[in-house]
Amino acid sequence: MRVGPTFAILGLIIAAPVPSRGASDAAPLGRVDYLPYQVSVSVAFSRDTEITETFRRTVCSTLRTRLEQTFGATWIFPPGADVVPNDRLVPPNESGLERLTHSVAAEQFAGFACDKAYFLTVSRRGPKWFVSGREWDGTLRSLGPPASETTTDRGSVADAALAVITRIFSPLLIVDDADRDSKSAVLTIRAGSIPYGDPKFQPLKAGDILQPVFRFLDSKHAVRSIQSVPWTYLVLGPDPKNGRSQVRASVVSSYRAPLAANMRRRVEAIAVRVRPEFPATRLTLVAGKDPPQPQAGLFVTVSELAPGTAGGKSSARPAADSPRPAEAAGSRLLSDRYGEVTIPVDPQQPIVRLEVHSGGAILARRPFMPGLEPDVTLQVADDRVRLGAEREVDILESQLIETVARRGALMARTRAAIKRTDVSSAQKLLAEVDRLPPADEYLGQLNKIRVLALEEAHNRKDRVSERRIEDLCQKTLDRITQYLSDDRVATFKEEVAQLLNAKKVETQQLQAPMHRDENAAPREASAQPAANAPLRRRSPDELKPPAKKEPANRPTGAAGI
Amino acid sequence: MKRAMGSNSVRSALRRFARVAAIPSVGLFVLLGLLLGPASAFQGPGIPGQRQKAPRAAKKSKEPPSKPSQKDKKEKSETEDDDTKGTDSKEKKDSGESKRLKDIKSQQKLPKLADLPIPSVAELNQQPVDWLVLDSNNKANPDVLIAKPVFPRPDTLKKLADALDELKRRPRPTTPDEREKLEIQKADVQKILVTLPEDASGQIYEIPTEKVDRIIYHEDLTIRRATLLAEEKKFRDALELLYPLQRTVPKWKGLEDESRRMLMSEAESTLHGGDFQTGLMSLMELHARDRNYPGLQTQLGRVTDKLIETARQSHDDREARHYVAQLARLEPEHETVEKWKRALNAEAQDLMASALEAARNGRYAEAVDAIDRAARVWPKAVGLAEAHRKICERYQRLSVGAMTLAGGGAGLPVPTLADQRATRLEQFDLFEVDRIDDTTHYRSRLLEQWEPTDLGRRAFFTLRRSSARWESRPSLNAVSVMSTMRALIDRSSPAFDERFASYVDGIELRSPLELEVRFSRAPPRMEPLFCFPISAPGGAGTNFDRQSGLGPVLSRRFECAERSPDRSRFRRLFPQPDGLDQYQLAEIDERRYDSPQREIQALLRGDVSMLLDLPPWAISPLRKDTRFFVLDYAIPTTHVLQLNPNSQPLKSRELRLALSYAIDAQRILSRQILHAADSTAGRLSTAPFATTSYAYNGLLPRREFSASMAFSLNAVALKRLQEIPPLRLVCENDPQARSAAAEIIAQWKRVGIVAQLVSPEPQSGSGQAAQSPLEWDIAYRKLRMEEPVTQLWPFITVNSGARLESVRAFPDWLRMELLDLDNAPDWKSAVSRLQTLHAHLYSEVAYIPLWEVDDAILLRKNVRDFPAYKFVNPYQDVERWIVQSWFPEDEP
Repeated sequence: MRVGPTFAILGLIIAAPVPSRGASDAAPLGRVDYLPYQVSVSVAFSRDTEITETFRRTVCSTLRTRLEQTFGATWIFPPGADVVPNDRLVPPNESGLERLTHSVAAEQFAGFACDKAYFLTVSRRGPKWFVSGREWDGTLRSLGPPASETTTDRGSVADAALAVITRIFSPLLIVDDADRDSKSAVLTIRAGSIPYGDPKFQPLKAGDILQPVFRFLDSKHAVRSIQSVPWTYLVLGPDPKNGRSQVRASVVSSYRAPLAANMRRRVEAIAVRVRPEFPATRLTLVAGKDPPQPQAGLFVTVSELAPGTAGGKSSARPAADSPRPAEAAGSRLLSDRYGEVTIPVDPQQPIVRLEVHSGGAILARRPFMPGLEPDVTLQVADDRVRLGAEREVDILESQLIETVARRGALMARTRAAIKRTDVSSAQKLLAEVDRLPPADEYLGQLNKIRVLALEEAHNRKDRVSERRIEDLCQKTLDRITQYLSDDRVATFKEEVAQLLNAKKVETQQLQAPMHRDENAAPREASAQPAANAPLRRRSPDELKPPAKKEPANRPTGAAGI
Repeated sequence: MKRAMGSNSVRSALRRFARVAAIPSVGLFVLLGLLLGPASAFQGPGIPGQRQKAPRAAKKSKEPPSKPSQKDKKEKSETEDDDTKGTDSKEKKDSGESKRLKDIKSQQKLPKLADLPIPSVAELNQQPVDWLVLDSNNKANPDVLIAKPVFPRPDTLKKLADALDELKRRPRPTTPDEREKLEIQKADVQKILVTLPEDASGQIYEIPTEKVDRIIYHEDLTIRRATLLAEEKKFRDALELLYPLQRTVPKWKGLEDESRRMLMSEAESTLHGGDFQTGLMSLMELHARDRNYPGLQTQLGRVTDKLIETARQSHDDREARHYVAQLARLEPEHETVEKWKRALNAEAQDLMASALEAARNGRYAEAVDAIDRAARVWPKAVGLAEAHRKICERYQRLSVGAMTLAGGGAGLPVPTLADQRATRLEQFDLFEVDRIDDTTHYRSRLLEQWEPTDLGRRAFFTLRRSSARWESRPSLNAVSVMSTMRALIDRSSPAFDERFASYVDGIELRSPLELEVRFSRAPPRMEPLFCFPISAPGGAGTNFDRQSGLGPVLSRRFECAERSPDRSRFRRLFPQPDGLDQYQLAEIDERRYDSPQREIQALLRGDVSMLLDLPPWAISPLRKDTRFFVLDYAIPTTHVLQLNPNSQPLKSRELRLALSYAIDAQRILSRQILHAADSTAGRLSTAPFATTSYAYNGLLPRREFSASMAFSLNAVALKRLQEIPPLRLVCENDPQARSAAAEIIAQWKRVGIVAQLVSPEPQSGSGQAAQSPLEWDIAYRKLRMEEPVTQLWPFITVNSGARLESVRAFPDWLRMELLDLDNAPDWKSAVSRLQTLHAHLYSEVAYIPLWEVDDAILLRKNVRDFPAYKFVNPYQDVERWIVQSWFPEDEP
């Protein structure tokens, strides 16, 4: 006799937790697709003369009915949970929802196990009824963004509440497998094998965006921490449900294998559907951590995420000089003094590609879904050292251009002087060419820039900047070598020497005593050149010894030498 | 023997008689020679020689006259002595002369007098000729011999006849030689020696006087031609034709009469045509010749009347007084002079009375208008000086001359110096630049005290409780200042100021007159950060400042009462109350002039008392004039070419370098700006700020002008860009800037760079119509940058604020450098970064610096109490100035 009650008590003890787990016990073991959501709905009514107790009860009961009709067996209300009026939300309107925190929400459902809970508010402003709602997710331990609906019909408040709930309901999916190469993942929809009450109701559609979250469990399978996967999104493939609980999604991430790395025991990869709830997201670019320095004046390119190249990864190499089509097609935003840019939501492109540029380098390349959060911070590398080197190199190249142009102009003038047989001018111009800063001087300056920049980058342990500085300097080195090589000057000098020789020979031929130029001017006109001819018969005056030059006329100093 | 003795005695008696008789004969010849000497002299210097040749010509007259040969001349000389002896030679000569006239007649058909036209002006100027009207039977239309001018003249025939009569009245000479000489003299005065104009050999012909009826001289022909021209209303040509005669033969018969008649005719004609000024000039010339010319006095009065009326219709009273004075100088007692003196005096008295009446009723601006007008109408009016002093010292008006006015550059991408001048006059900032020496000093009209605390992280501002008597400003409290600052740091406000917000964290009101500003980081200097006007809280869409989105500006001192393309009037926003001991300036009247010369003219005429933008070459002569103060600006005016950061062609560094190298700045500065090669009032620069500024990097060498460099760089740019469209250089309507810009374009053209000058559209009458901005690549700017540390960013971005978005087109490193400048932790670092930035900007050719010029302000000495140090802006503390009563009393 005593054994029976004992067993009965024992059975009750064992069975006691069962109700707390709810209907999940009804699902086959390990089949999440048969596991319905345990939900709770609370409705806070604002104080209004038109909101009576009867109205409250009517709204709650009607909403309960509508939810059962819509969600069917995918939603169950655990014991103690129902669609109930909520008197604990203060104030009972949108601002109260805004103020709601995860912990406060969790406290309200401490007595019963819920997967999801919905906080609704009903208020009236003039003829309009406002219904707002917010989803609390127990699995992800998060509060979703608020959403609201309006109606002018007092009797449609429950329908508006249903519309809010269907909008904010985020189905959960379990990541079963992720393929690194094909950048795709296989997911199981929770309660995906259970049909909805309303066959037209489709919370998941092709192209919906999912955000992956890792649940780290301890040895007792208790949640140790929950961590979202940054800059990673899953895009649902076609026919996500359609009677099947498993779906395929493509992975869009800035990491090579964002999911596969953590696909191990005691880690659950869960994906939740997300929709942009804000018109834009303010992206803050920061560098460093202690404290983070806002990066002002950086260009952020927002461009279309090309299929197949969705998973843009962090660029470790400097951007090529070739034009970037995506950049050309997208918009270029400039971060303000706070390092912020505002990225608006584009319904046609829910996920965009962000590229953060600093001079000729790309500091970061990320897929990004604007509108999910009002503010997002993106950590980028501090590029000051490389940018400083780029400035110095830019100025050096400016000087290089001037030198090359000056040399070209001097060479052209030298050729022109030789052409008109102005040898002295040609020699002066040639001397000016020699006085121009040679390539070695530029190479020396470039080396100084390079060494100083590399040293600073090395001190900062910034290897990326080191490599970029090396590349930058190498390009400038090539330019100096190409445009200011000594060979060019040497070749030009040889050319000038040849031209001068040719002119000299031509002049000597003209001055030769036996030379008779048919086209030459009369003898009187050419008397002066002939005066230097070696075999010319000199006049008696010329045969006199030359008069001594005045000492004052003698050249003195270095000029004379 | 007796016979012999008798014969001897007779001989000796005859000898004695001969000796006695010879004395009077010699005396007679000497006397005759003296008498004939002046006659021959009258005939001119070349004539005596010709006269000696005349007999020779007569002797050889048998031969054809057209071919006088050397041989003939020799024969003539050989027979000369023989011919001069016998009396039969006279008969030969007479027969020869008649033949010569016949020869002329046989060689050419002499024209008839009636058929000869009066020579044209060109013919008269080419060769003077006389017409010898020959005596013939055809008295109505006689023959005319055209010859070179004959002598003596005028009245040749009469003079010769008189000379002949004189010779005939002489007693018969006793000796044969004397008789022969007398005969020769008689023969000479009975003929006229002429040469033909077409005869290049200069052959002389002798025309018997009895053959010549009369002579029409060249002078007569000239007068006749002038008369004909006058009939054609070509008075100036006619008078020009007569002027040489008036210089050479002023007493020629009919010349003076004709000239006077012509002047009168000209005056009447021009008056009939409405050109009273020219008519007056003719009448004045006539007056100088003959003040009693019939009708002259009447005409003078009529013309002066007309001119005065015209001047008064155009409100140019000074000109009217000028005509009155001019006529008074000619005819002090003229009735017109008296009439106008009375009229002008009466009008001045009326104006004076109305001015005093307006002043009594508190309509001071109207009173000043009237009394100024009275001073211009008749400054000698009794009691005017006293009334003028009384009214003008109550409501002080300063007339200012300038070449550009605010709003004149509608459509320009940047505000001009005139726009800045007007803005600063109309409103004031929380902090204003007071003076500049080694550094920039600030002052505040609103704040009594400002004190940084907490190591510069906070600042306490205490507002003034009251304003000075002379100030024109509203009383503002800390709430207004705080709301303005909050709008500047509010990111959602259109007035959001990035730079200000990056420094200022928050503002707290401590009391109605105190507020505290918290800085997120301590600024190197606080004052430059707070250089903004105080505005009323409000949204966008106000009339005053649509750009900022703030409400109307509260910190105002003057308002624009009248604006037109040529005139702007600014009045105190808060008029001075009655009953003060001393009043200050109440109104500024800016007038635009086209050139510095016009400005100086207006200053000397007394139309204006201050000149703002005179170039150095125009100022230097006035520096010694004790009537004026010449006040130099604290910083020179910098001329610079600003490049549009969004211009596609100018993104090419090679093209920018080519533009820079192609400008021979020293040449333009010397020729166009300074007008002197050795002037020290201007110098080349490498920055958009003064060379004396703390920001100026003096170690930076300037690019030397090099056309060849520019040419090759342009070629490189062209190769890269494929095509360079004509560059648009925009320039304000300032004569100095426009001439320099035109020269720069010409220099660019020489190296193959095509550019065109784009002018802003002239301002419409109301000045309120919105002008579309001009498309431009380069802007010629004149500026005075007072605080480069804050003003350099807006300058290079062509933007009013320091917004990061405005530096989008610049290289990343330049953007970072500008940010680093704003983030400088202390003043020393800021200056160092600024000098580095200057070097980098110059290297990058972010702008093309030209030169700087030491401009100055010119003030008449009736203005006093202006700041004793160099002006930062033209109207510095202008509310404090005192303009004493003054009006020009000189005779215009």
